[in-house]
Amino acid sequence: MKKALIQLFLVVSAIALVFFLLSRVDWVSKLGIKNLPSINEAKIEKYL
Amino acid sequence: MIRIEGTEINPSEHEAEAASSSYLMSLVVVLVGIPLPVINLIATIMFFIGNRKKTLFVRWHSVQALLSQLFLFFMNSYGFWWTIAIIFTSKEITNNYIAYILTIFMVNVVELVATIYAALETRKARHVRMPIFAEFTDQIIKR
Repeated sequence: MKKALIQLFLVVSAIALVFFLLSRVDWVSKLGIKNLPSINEAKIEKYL
Repeated sequence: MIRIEGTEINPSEHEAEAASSSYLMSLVVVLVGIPLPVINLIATIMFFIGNRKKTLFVRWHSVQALLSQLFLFFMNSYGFWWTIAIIFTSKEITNNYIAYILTIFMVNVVELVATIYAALETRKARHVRMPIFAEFTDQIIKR
């Protein structure tokens, strides 16, 4: 059981590290993502 | 001979097929499971319930398949509801969101490869122990 908990801790830490490193990259400007209006906002504008 | 928690078993052809199906269950529903992560978990839970009275080899592998899906379920659910929030509310796509989606994509690919390998090996009546999940499975089956 102790071995499994250590393995779980190591895997979760590795996943967290990958996430941390990937979140350092400025994906939004690199990929040129423009935040579109959400479905709710689009609906509201349509009916105004 | 296969050793599960001090018990030596020699699975028959039928047992190997049933144990392999526990992993296949999560692969078959993968197309449905991508948009709705809970589907994979429900499929493996149903398979486990259906096989809980069967032999040790089948039970052990259905529990291991269930635990591996449970691990993915928590990660995928968070990503799913984050995506829903971006589509339906005023939340925006951020660097953290893209990083999270890439991370869970990588974890899913690793899990998919491990599941295919486990399905193939158990079909050949070989005992596959996934890291982390095998130890927890031993604890659950022992009770």
